[in-house]
Amino acid sequence: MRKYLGVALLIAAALTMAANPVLAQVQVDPALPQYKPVPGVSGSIKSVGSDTLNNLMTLWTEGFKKIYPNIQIEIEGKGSSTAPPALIAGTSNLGPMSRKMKDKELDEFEAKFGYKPIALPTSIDMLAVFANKDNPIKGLTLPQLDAIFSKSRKLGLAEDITSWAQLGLKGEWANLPISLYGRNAASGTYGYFKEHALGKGDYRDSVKEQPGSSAVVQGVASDKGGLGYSGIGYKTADVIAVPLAHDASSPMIPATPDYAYTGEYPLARYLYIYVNHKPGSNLDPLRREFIKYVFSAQGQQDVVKDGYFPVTAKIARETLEYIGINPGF
Amino acid sequence: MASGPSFTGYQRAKKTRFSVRAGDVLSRFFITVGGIGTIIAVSTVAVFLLWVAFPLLKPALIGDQQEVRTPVRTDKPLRIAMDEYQLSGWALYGDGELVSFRLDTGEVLERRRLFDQSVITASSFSLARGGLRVLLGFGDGSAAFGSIVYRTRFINAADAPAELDGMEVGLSARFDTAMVERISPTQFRVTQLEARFDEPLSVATGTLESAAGVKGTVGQADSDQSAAPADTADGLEPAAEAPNPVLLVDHLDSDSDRVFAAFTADGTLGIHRQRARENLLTGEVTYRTTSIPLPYEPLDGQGQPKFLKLSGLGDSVMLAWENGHLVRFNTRDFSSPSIEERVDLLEDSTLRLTALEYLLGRTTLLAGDSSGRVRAWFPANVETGGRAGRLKNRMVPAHTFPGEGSPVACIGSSQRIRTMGVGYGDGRLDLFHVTSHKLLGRLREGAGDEPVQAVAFAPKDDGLMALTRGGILHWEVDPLHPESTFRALFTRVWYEGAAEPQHVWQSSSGTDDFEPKFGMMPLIFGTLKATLFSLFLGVPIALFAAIFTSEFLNSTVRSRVKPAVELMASLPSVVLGFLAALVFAPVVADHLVVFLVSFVTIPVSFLFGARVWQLLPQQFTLRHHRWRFPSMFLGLPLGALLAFLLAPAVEWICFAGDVMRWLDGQIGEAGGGWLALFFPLACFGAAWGTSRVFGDLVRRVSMNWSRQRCALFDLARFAAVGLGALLLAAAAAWLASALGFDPRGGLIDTYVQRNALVVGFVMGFAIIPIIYTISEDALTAVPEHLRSASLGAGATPWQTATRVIVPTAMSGLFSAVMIGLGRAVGETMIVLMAAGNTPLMEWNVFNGFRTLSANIAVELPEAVRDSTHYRTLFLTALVLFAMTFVLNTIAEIIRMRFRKKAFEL
Repeated sequence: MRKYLGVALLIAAALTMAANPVLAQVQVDPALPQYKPVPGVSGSIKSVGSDTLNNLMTLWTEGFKKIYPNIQIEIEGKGSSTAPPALIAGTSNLGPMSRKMKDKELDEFEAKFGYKPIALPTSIDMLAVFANKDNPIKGLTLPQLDAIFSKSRKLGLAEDITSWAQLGLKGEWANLPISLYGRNAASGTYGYFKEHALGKGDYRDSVKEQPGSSAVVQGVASDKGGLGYSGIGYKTADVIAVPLAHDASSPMIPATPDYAYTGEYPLARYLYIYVNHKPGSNLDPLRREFIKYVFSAQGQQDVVKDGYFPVTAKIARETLEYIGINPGF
Repeated sequence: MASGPSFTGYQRAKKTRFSVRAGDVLSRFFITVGGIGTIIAVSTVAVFLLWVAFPLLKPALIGDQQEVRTPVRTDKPLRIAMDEYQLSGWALYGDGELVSFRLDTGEVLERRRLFDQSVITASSFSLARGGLRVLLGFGDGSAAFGSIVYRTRFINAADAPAELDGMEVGLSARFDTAMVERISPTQFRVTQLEARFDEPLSVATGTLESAAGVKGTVGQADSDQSAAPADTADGLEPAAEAPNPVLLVDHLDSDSDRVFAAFTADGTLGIHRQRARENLLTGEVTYRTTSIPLPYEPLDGQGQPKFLKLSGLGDSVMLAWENGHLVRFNTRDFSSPSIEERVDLLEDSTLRLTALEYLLGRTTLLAGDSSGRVRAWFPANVETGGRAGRLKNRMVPAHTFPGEGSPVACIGSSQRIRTMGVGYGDGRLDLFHVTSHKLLGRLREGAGDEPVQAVAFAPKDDGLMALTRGGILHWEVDPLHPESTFRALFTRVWYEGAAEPQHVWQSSSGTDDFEPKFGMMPLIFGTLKATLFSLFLGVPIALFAAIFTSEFLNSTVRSRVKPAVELMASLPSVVLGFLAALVFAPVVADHLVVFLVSFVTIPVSFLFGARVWQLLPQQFTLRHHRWRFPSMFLGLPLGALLAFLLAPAVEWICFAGDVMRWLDGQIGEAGGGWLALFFPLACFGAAWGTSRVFGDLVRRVSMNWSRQRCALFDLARFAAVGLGALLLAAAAAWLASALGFDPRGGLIDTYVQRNALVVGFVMGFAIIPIIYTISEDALTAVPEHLRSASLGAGATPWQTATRVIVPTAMSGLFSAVMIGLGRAVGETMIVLMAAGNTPLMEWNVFNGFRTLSANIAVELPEAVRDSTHYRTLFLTALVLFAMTFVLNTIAEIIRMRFRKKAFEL
């Protein structure tokens, strides 16, 4: 059955990938070097973790496999919460996560190995709120989002928002109820949205939990009154990313890369790869080279290709140094 | 086996051939093994599920009490804490002394005066990433931020001082003012207490008008030390000279915000917020500082307030007096703070409020009083008496932990889960889980007059420390699965922020302070809903199809129809689910009325077609009887076309012209909906009623009529029944709406694209082949002589089918339905993809649900092994197993009854 799920997600992913948009022209930091192959790299990469990062991991590993054809690659992406157990059990050597590890997860890791895992900020994602492409909505504030998605309404609006009329839409839109789509509780996206858009309040029971980011976008695309959240990388031509504002007095910020970099967009975050690295020791060549690849110009180009935003050379350099790799730039 | 020549003269081979005997033995062996193996396999599954789920019921593990009778100091500390390895602890006292001590021996590692002259008059502590953040208020009206944290570093054995050489792995020892533990032959770990405070700021001026605007300052964020922009906030001037002691403070730190509130002796109350925004590109942090005074009013005769609390988002400030009176200020909108409400936390004037602490997440307030009672309060959106439907944010007392007389002396809350340790005046110490109301353990019995002064959880929640006047107490604790009690799993639970106890399933999230909600009822409900709706749609179609093919079709057609239907079963359910979610659901949403009307028009068009066929001249029907079956296929498009044509009219009459808005309750009357709901029922009623009342009469009168006339009469009767049904439905609808009933809110309500109708239809598709093929077999297996006898006695094929064949085959038909039901209960992929997975408990056909099986499929991969969530998922699997087991057993018993009856024929 799990196999079927995989197949289904694959189909869904394929459908979305096919329609992947050319987002605003994002440039990779020119200071990032081209990746140069080294001898002696072999073995297998096993990655278990975030669904948000699933396509990106595939792109990276494909690119990496072109350089080192004899390595084995396995990627599983069911949600960020699947990464720590797999890293701890040793069934994976890379743990892509769209959020930071919880303290409890860090503890469990530390209990097994005696040190904490290392988080590599590989790219920047914007959590976008998607509406159907025909929807005339101009923007939403975080308290409005909270009143739409949460039953606790921690951000303080007085009433639940259940119809588009309450958001000021006119005509045929005024009659439509808002149909909510979201991710399943395993995903980092779910936790991030809950923390940053709902003030840690509880989701409403009527949010349709979809097993993958692309399923959320598909749902919104086929549902006229749909509203859902997922990574910007899954945007297709059938949905629009709604501009967001911190509160009623702040300006609406569109989901474009410039605002993600400046930190003005309220829901921008890093996407991480967690690795099990004993402080002071040397990484094995396979993971070392893979990480170098991720932080090279090619790797960051893949980030752009997948619709996310690349990290700067400064971050790349610091990250590589942190994990004991000589960045060489 | 008589000896001698046989009667026939033919010598019978005495021995059965070896191959036959061997085959016999072998097959007996394999059948036995297979049968027993199946039983073992099924019970092993059950045992395994039990095995994993059972630890949920285990009580918390509480280690032995380790008591050291060397008091740190005899007075009550402001705060105590211990390091994450539970080797040492610290206590902070009102005169500014910070004492660090060993937990096992009580030996003092270090005594330090944090501030030279100042006496601490107020203090607050909050957990932030990396340790405890502290805000202290002083007698001169100033306050200082700081942190008291344990720093851990590792030393290689080669670099370690000589005195540590002989130490064994796992042992710990004093190392100057720190503790050291050998964690491996090559490594030592040193845990050192570190306290650091910023320069004090004046908060006595309170009003801070000059800072009320927006101030932007830029500072470099440093990973290690919190970039305290204290000196940048204009309103926070250096300490004022007038002695105006800070009486109460509270603060909170998050990744991006720092908010603090302070109350001084002259009655000024202010709240200050510093908001940081990080630039992902450069790592730079921008701060915005805002300060506002709050409208404080003294409470007559109660003196100064005793507690000041700031909620987790900094959106409310609470001030509480000793008599339990609490004022909550709404500071969400910084430009206009207001008093949100006043509550009496104790609701009993004879009691005093003795402790007020936050539970993890800073939303639930734990109020301990002088009778030993602890009540948990949190704000919820509740309906207040005023305008109908208007919700107000009010504090509600959700949980009460009754006392035993001795006052609550202190409350400590865990940093990981929603447990609290409560220390009492008589020295008793209890450990509770707040959400589930469970007393996890009594750590210490009350004995005499040595009150518990302070209690603290270990950072990893695996230990508890308490201080009394006489010594230090320490326990190792593993709470295991405090969230899951029978009550928490199956009954309504009052979760944080809810207005009343509810059934909720929300199992996990990305933060630690999330309150997991393991209410299993929505999942069980969803499973039942899915099963019922799919059976409702699937069973009639499958059974009637089976009766039709076995009794009314010739064997050639039957031999083609049956495999074709069985081919339907080969469609993987994931494909069905995919089609349902992405193709079928949007189409149904766009043409809902057409879809609903077709439920009536398609059967009607078939019935109408049958009447028309009767009307045709006999020569024609006899000559073309081969076309009778294929011509039936015209009924389907005809019905669909009819539905398409009728839909706008129906929508106009029944649903006020817009079915979505009607369902949402925005427009229209209840009557139209009742009409639509009652019409199918009325059709059955009218048809059954007429044949019951007039059946015999019609048969007698029409005895000598011509065929043509009979057919015409039949058609007329058909039309009359339809009309009658319409009138009947209209009358019932009028009655129902006149009595004030509205179908909306019950069986039908707001339309959601992924809903039970869609799932029921597609899942009906998945169970039809099974039910059809088994019941068809059962019907065909009815002995031919019964059929022949019935037909020979003059019964029509229809009478034979309904009165002879179906009752005889009842046991088979019943098992067919039960197997279909089993499939529907366990069906995962269709539900997972098409039902929206919303854990709701509403019968509304037009919204979604979440079933046990889909829930397991979605959540099991994410669940941390052996966590409460993981085990609870196994428990849901066990519930699913039990449900199918019970259903199948009941089905089997009923089937046996039917079978016995059938054999009696």
